[in-house]
Amino acid sequence: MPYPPSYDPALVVLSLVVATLAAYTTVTLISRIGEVEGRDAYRAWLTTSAMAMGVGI
Amino acid sequence: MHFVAMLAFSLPVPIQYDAPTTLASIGVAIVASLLGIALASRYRARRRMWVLGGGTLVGLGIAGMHYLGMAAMRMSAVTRYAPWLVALSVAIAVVAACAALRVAFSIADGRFSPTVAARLGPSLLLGGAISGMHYTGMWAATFLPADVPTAPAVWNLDPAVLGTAVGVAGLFLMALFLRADTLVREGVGVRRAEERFRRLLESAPDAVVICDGEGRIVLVNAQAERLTGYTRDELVGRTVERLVPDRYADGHRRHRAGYARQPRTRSMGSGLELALRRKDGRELPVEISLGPLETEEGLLISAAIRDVTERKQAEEALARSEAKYRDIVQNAAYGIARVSRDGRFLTVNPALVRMLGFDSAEELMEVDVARDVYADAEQWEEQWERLRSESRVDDAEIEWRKKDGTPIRVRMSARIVQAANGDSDVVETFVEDVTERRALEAQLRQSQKMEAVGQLTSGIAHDFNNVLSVILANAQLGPAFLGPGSEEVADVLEEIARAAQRGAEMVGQLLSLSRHADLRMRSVDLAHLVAGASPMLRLILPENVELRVSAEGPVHTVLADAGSVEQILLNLVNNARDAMPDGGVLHVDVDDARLDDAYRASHPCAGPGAYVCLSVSDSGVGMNEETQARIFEPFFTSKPRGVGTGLGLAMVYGLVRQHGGLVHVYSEPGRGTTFKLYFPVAETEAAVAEDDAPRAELRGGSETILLVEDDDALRSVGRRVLERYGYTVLTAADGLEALEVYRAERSGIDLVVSDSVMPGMGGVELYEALGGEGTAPRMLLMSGYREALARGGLAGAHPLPFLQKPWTIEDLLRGVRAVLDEE
Repeated sequence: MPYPPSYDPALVVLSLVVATLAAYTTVTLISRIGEVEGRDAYRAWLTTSAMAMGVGI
Repeated sequence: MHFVAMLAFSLPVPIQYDAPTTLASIGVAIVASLLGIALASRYRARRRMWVLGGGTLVGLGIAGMHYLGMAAMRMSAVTRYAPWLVALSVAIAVVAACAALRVAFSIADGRFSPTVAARLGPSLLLGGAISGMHYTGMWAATFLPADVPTAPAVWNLDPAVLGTAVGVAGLFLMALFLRADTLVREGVGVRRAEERFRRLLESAPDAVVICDGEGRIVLVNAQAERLTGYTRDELVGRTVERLVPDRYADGHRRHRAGYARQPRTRSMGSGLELALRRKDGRELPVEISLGPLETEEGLLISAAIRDVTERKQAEEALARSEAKYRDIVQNAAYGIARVSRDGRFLTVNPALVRMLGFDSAEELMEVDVARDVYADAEQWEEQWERLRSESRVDDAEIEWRKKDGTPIRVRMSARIVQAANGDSDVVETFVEDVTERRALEAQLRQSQKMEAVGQLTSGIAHDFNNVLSVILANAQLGPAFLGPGSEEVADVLEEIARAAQRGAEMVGQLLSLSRHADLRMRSVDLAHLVAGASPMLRLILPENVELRVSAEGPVHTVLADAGSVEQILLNLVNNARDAMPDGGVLHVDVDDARLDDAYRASHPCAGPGAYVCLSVSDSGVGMNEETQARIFEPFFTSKPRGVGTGLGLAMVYGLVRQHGGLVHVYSEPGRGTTFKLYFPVAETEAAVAEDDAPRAELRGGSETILLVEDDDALRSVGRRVLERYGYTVLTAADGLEALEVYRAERSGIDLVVSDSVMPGMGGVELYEALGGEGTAPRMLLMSGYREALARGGLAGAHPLPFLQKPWTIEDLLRGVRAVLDEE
């Protein structure tokens, strides 16, 4: 018999909020990427958005 | 998210997480995201393809993290997965991530504006990718109880700690990133605003200099650099007086302070000439408009500077050109005017005012053109008709009236121009007064006509007068041969003589036609006459001959026929003109003169007393002595065939002689010719008297006379008359024969009566052949030509007595007697 899994609804909601927030941050940063000038700034911006995504996941 | 979600998850057995695996799972997520997003942002050109690759990577990263995170679980259970659900979870992650990235990059590329609402869609998609994948993955998993030995606990992490830590760290990071985003966005906004302002400045057509309240320049555009010659760095930070010429600098500082107190947009120094000093010291005329700029750093003043050098130059050029044209109109020899349809002068130039005899332009502009200027108001209407149909009139000759009513003839050109207000027509007209010219032309035509008549008459006069002389002499001589009781025959002869006399008079009249009319001697002021004739003389002279008339007077009056003197003048000027084909100077002078004794000694016919001298002097080709000797001979001409008649100077001579005057010629080849005509000053006004001396009784004589005449009939009647009155008469048919007869008789001949114009040798030549003055016998010349023509050029040198043909018996006998009686 497998163990029956159980979920704490509040934390599930929190997980969804975290996911959405992370996604929002990532999307926001990506949408700004066109305004960034300079190669280094662009890389930093790219890394930051990727970090937001990675950490968010 | 994963660990927060795992915190919400629980199994009947406790769960621990293996730290290294957990960290690896986080690493996978980050690396995959990095690669995926980098890939997706790679090339704008093929964005769709790259986003698909990037999204797939991100999706796989999500899935990879999840299943690696699951593998980090340490519990008394084993995990089994339903394969199709695993596949579904991966698919959800990949598809949702792709979609989310697609939208996000569309925003980044500017295809949507980056509003919160726009970002919400891809955010939910991406969030859904994470959450959907996670819970589908959890759905795919079943946890079977198993006694799994607890792995060597390197680091077991408590789920509560892990979830809380990761969650808090994540939220903190998110907040940090979003804050960074806001800052960056604001920074970008400011930079863009500045950039826009700068572009605006650079694209402005004018040079712009912006300075602060203290007058220090803070910003200039490229046009300002070009205009001033300074570079941006040489201007920024310096006071704006660097661009102001020194003499204006103090005033500029004061005005600047004033402007800072009351800033508003306005042009600088209206009504003043503003100048800008360039780096090279050159000054440019400029126009400047000022505007205040309120900024956080305080008031800035922008000055837009426009170089108006070209405009100034254009204005000056325009003013100069206007002045030039005004000058032309004001000083034109032609009358120039604008006339309105209702007959008013709108503008007139001084020439027109003078032409019409008005005192001022204002006075002229009062008059009604149709009524007061046009002699015939209908012409005014006719001209308007023509102007309306053809819009211009060229070289129309019409009659105008001056202020005092004097008619003048004007030549006019006119054209319609549109009036400034456009509601009525205006005519621009050029007027030339041709009254004088037309009169002179008529005079010239008359002179030429008379010359032609004179030429014709002279041509027939000789022969015709011979015929008349024969008739006349025979008719007069006839009664002497009649016996008593032949009164009727005597009457008939007298009738014939009268008719012949009338014929002679007619010839005389015809001859005098060539001099306008019979000489009408009046008191004449020659200076006045010459001055009056000079315009006409100017007319017959070409441009390259300069006419200098010196006839101021006052000179003594002379008895003269004005028409004849004019004709003389015309002849001499004509000759002078022909003598100067390459131009030159022609002097016409009138002055009082007194012939000295020496002159009179060499010119015996010059009477004593005062003269008025009319001299005509040219700088032409001149004459040699041979030509000079013959110029007064009739039909002698040095001009090309068809140009001269050969009568001009002969007539001049004759006319002057008829006035009791003298002609003196001085000429040098290549230097020019001077004719001096001496007219005797009138003794009294009444000096017109003819010689009305009582007719002396006809006297004959016993001397021997040689009669030279080529006309046989005339010769024979002459001989008859002279023999009848007691003379011994020898005859010859021409000069050569006369010479032979004379040489044969020599001393026996007391008088030679000779025709002047004969074939072979004429009278004057005969006189010379006989030895001239002193040696030759006394001589009486006869001719049907006017005396002057008959005498020819040698007459001046040989003042031989003259008998005009046709002569009457009285004329012949008196003439012969007079010469014989001379001492």
